[in-house]
Amino acid sequence: MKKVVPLNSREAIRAEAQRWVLAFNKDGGPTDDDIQAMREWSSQSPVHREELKQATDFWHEADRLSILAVPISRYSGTTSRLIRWLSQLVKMPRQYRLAGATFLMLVGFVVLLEPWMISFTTQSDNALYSTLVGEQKTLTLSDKSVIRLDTNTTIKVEYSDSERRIHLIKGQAHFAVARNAHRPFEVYADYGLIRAVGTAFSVSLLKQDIQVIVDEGKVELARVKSSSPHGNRSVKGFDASPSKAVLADTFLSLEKGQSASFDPQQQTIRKLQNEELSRELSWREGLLVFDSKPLKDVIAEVGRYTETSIEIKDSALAELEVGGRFRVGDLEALFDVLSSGFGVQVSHIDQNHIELSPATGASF
Amino acid sequence: MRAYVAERGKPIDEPKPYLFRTAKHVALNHIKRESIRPTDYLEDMDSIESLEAGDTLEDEMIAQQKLEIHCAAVATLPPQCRRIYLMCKVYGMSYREIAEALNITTSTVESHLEKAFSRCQRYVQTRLGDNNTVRSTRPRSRGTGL
Repeated sequence: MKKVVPLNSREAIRAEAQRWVLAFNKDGGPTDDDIQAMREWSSQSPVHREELKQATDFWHEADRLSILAVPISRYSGTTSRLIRWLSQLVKMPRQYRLAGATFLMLVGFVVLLEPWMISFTTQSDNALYSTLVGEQKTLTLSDKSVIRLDTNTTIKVEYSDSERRIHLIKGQAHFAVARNAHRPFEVYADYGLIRAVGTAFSVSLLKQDIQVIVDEGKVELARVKSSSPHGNRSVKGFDASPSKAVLADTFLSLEKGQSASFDPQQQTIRKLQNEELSRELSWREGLLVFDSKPLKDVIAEVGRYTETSIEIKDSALAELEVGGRFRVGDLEALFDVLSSGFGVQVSHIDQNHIELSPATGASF
Repeated sequence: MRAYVAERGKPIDEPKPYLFRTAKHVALNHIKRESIRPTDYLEDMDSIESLEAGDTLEDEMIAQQKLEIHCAAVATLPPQCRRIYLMCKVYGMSYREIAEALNITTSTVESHLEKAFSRCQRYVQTRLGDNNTVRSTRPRSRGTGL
């Protein structure tokens, strides 16, 4: 913190306040001396405190700029609509052109400064990451890859200078991979190995087989030849450490818009329409979107996000086709819709137990 | 990373309340690192709330407008200054990391950040006015009322 003889002008006080905010955000954060000195500085006058507040608030507001680090297509929903909206400024009439060019200039810069150009690995990436039932989490790793964990999911990250390995131990996750040809990105899920050639895909271990959906770029699917007889789903059973070479059988290349399910012997591939693709991945934003699914499937999906067990007491009701969008965990909204719109009776048996049955007089 | 690390350290004893919080605040998970606020160390200072997008269309539009203003502010900066500011705010790089990446000293980094801070804060405050409502620098026209 430079020592400056304070002048009695607001501009000078403002500049000092800004230097304080920068000092507090330096490597390692503020020391006790910094905090003490800042308090003394602030106590000089109400103007000092006011300027410090404004500078602090501004710097905090400017954190919004971090959105620009993520390429548009990696996020759907609010963020990409926001960025798409901005990029449309380019097409606007003359008086808006400056803003559009501004944005492109910024985007151009951001794209030029590819994350891999700055090489710094952080050991703190490597760890186990978990979510509880009903919890979702986003991780950003040191290479700027972004991983979205769904409910009840566990992954193990094993990054080294030459490789990026992730072990999906249980649950479902979406990976938006920062491009780096020198550092391959691989996800190990039970007997499967997914190599990222392109940039964004999800992997899930929710069913008997492994499911992969690609929403951007391309991935390669392989089966791992494992020496462990118990398979690889336990943390102890599989060693995904970078030093260990893995024998794997690449059997398929999967592209944007395709979904594959595979087990040790077979695989099936489907091409997903845009709407279906975005429905399948809506969980990432904490939304569940259904289009004509039987109620039992909807309840099964919704049930993954809560400890409450939900039972459907009528077999015809279980087959009732429903559609809609629900916020993950928002059971009340779902039950409201079912009871008011679909003639379903929602009975709360106890704290953790709910039964759905046809309301009197209703039939399905 | 800081916000994420803090969250990991918190003991989560009660899955149920956490469940509802997750449902509400899904929006801005991509903010990688929240700045440290010196005002947190002072008494009687209200901090502004965290940058949540909120649920309404209006909240979204305001967030869009604010982002656009911050982008426009950055565009007024000279090249090296802008580069350093973006490395700090967009990529969340520390001063030392920026210095190493550009082969300059950390005090040079800090002095560029001071300049960026000063210019951008002035620009944004002019655009936003005193009561934090969005003000346009362009003549109004048909189209999105910015």
